[in-house]
Amino acid sequence: MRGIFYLAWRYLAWHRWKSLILVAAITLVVFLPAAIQVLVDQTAAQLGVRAASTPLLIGAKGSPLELTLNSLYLQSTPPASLPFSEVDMVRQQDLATPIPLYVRFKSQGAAIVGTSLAYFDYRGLAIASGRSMAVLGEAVIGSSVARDRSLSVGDHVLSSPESAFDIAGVYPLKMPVVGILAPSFSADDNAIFVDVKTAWVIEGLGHGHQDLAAPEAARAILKKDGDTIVANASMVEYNEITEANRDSFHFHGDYSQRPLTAIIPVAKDEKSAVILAGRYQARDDDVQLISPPRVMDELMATIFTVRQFVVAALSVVGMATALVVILVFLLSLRLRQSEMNTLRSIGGGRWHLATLAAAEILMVVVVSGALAMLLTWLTERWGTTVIQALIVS
Amino acid sequence: MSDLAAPLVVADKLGFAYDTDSFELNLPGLSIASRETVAIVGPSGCGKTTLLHLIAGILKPQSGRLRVLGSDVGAMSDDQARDFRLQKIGMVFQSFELLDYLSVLDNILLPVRIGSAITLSSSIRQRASELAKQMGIADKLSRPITRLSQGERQRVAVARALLLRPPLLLADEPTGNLDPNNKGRVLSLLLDYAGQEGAGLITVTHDSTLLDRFSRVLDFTTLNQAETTA
Repeated sequence: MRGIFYLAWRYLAWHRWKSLILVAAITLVVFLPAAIQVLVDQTAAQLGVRAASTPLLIGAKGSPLELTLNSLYLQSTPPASLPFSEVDMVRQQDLATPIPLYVRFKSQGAAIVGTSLAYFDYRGLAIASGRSMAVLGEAVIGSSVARDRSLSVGDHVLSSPESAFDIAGVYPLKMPVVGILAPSFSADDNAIFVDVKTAWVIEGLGHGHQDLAAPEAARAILKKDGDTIVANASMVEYNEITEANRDSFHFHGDYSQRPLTAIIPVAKDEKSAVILAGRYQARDDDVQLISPPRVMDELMATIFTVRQFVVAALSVVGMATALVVILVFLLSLRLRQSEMNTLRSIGGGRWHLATLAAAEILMVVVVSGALAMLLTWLTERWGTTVIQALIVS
Repeated sequence: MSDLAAPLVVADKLGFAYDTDSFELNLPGLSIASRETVAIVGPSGCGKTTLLHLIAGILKPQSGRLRVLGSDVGAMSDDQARDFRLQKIGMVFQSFELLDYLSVLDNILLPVRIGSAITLSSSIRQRASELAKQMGIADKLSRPITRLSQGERQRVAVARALLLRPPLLLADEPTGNLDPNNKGRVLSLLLDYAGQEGAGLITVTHDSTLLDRFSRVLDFTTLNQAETTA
């Protein structure tokens, strides 16, 4: 039998390209459905972990999925905003600690998360170097942002305009990096954290400029009516908050109406969470309280359905490939009829010749199966890392 | 039982026909003594190769008796015929019938690899190397067959046929595809082996220039008494 396997091996090695193509085709047919199963399961697990750690989320009425993706995974377009007064409302009910989120702006693709220090505690984020943001304008960056842009404490990040044509609106704000987070293997690794007030400054709701009462600003003043001063475009407006100009920064308008994209209510206990959910359900204004785990479950149910279709399609492709492989082997046997006759002439029995053909098929199938198993194992082993990289990118 | 002293071939009223055509073979009698070197001549399609296949046990006679090296090949099962062929008969073909995907050495060792009756041992490997040396291809043992000349290929085929020291060599136009130099060389290798080992040689050939080197020449058209020929 060793001799037969040796001959089969020599045949496959001699026709290496044909053998490699067969092995590749069978490997892919086995590997792809397995990989999809593994990746979908791991994606569900990854998304599920983040959602499970955020059982409640408050936002403006609209798409719960958009709200969840924006608030938990720091992706998708910003949902409609809700007023900051909602934070006070949650706090007054004494059922949960509200963590404000304003996830609207970006810096070179990384989300700028306007929030409070409570967010770090809630997500279990640790500072790897530097410190937390303490005053207006400071930023703490995620580990991936620091690694990808080679940033360290003391460097700066710049907010990106929302649109290339936004020349009259949001000015880029230069923010010093005061801290870098330890890797958390979540969306937080690729985010930039600022105080929610800094996010409002980026939006233009707060700003700082030269003291218009100072003599050097006289040329910029158009009109003075008591405390109200109207200045022209020559007035110097600051795009970086420094110690020297920090005091000049101020906000206009009603504090309670400043925008947030979401609030994470950290309920005191399960009962408080239920009561809070009930109260929001009873409200008929533009605010909603959603359960991110439920939203993600619905999303995953859709993905699982799609997976079933994809796996079914791949199974059909697999069967077609198997038929083609069988055809290749049959044609190969036909082309080798003269060889088989020779082997029979010099003493090869029918059983031995059949074993020779079977050994070749067996070798191709075993090698393909082993490769598919190896690739599936690698997917299982490294798939999580890839998914995490995809989630944070 | 078969042995070197037994006649190579004894056929008595041997009959055979293919299902697919009108060819018939009808040998009233044929006897080839041990150690004989016989050339079988005749026009294409007259049944020379069929006779070789009957002697080798590849085909089974439909009537009559055929004893080869003392064994009734017609009565053998497929497995017995295969083992008989493997151990007692060396086959050489006009188109060499070597396997492209094997090296020279692996082609010589092929009879051992395709059968379970004989185990590949170091002595068989040594025998293969010695044969390669005799055939003048010792320096090409690891080469693929595709990189050999026609003459070298037929020498590989002869070495394969001689590997297990068969008492009977069957050669089907072994020099048909060779130039005059190689024709003589290959035939010498076969005849030398037969002479040294006391083996028999039955060769089908169309080459009249080689006939005087055989101990007997059989004209197949006079042997085959069938009325129709292919």
